[in-house]
Amino acid sequence: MLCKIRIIPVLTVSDGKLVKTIQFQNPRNLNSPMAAVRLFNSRNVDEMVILFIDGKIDFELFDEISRECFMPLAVGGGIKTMEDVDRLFSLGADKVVIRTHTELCKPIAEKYGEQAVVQSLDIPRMYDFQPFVGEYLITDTRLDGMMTGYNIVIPRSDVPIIVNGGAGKPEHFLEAYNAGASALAASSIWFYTETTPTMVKQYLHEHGGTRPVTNNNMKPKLGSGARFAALKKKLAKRSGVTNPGALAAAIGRKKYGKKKFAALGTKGRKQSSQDYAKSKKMKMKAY
Amino acid sequence: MVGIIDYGAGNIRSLSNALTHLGIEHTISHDKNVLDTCSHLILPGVGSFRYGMEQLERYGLVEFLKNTKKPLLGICLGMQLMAGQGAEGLPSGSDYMAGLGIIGGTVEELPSPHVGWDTVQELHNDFYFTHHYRVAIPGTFDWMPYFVKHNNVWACQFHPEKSQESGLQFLKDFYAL
Repeated sequence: MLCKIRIIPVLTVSDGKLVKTIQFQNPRNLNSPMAAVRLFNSRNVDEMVILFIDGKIDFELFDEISRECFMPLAVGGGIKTMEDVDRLFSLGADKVVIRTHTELCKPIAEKYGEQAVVQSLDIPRMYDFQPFVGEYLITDTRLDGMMTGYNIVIPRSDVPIIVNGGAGKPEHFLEAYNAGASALAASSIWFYTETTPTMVKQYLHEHGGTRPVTNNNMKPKLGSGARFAALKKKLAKRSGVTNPGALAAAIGRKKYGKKKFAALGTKGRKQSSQDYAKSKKMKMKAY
Repeated sequence: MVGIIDYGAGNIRSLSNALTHLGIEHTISHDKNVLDTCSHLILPGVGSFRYGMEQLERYGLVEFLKNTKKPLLGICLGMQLMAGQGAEGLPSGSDYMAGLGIIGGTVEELPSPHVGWDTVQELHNDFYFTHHYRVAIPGTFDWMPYFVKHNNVWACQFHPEKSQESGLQFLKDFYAL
């Protein structure tokens, strides 16, 4: 299901200082992290990502940040053990960003829920989408800090995708939004131009992103196969059900009639094979 | 004085920060006697249904919460625990586990995680959501309650402590009950 688009500032911190890299290199010092955090908090930002790019989690700094922020916070960089994760959550983190230690995804999802796990993927190098993840943060390393526009080849996924790297103008956000991103992350644009997250949102609103934003509507489209899969999953949880697929099919036949159900099934299979081919193609293109 | 129920499954820190920011006095506890002296109660929560219920039972809070007449606010998992039953965190195929049964309904999995800002029609405002399960009311297949108000109980699926201005206003409104 779709939500309103989120505009997310990314703060990269190294050695207690706010820095900005270009293509992940040459970190340049900006102002103090707290000043930036206060600014974003006063601008009513949707969410914030804090990455410790030197691989050392600065718990003290994060503690200070979480005291002043009333927005969702995702933290990452240098998370190696479950103790790190527990400590971050107890300090007020809402999500953790996992990049290297993907084996942590499952235990975190079990303890805090899938929505609390964000997997960071650096394309074009990494493409190992993990299960037990609530969101994917996709950063194009070639575009980081370039401000020339997002990589708008966005993999198809049920899991929300945050695109990062390359935003330099409000137009870039619109492109990525129309390409299917659930959230748009950026950092250079806030520090090197006068654009603010509110301005970007206003721009998206005025130029009417072509994607529909739905509310309270969770029914997937009939004949897409998604409804059948959801029902199957639901039935599998009931006790005494040995073959959820057959039961779901029986329910479907009763509801829509034998003929219509068969037609819907064919449509669904066709759709999913098309989707699969498309996603394959997109991945190839991204390489 | 607001009592935040600390049952080991919550984003207590952010909630406490928000209340401090609003200048509302609060205490964090899982002791019935302490919670009894508070005027308002908040049941926060991040985690699975099973873990949450087990923790409430461990601290002996189930009966206390069912019978309390104080204004009670359930946030996210807190709302789900108030439902009749749920299965999150249980091995697949097992029966539902009973919840607090304050607002009724069943906790069910969503087809995909619901993360982000959405408008809550009842409150005419945008709030931040992050959850993978929802409270389903029997007979309404594709509708999910974002906010439920029942006698002294408020339950919200969104996170007011993470919803900036609108969330802080929501907490203020609750304290004014």
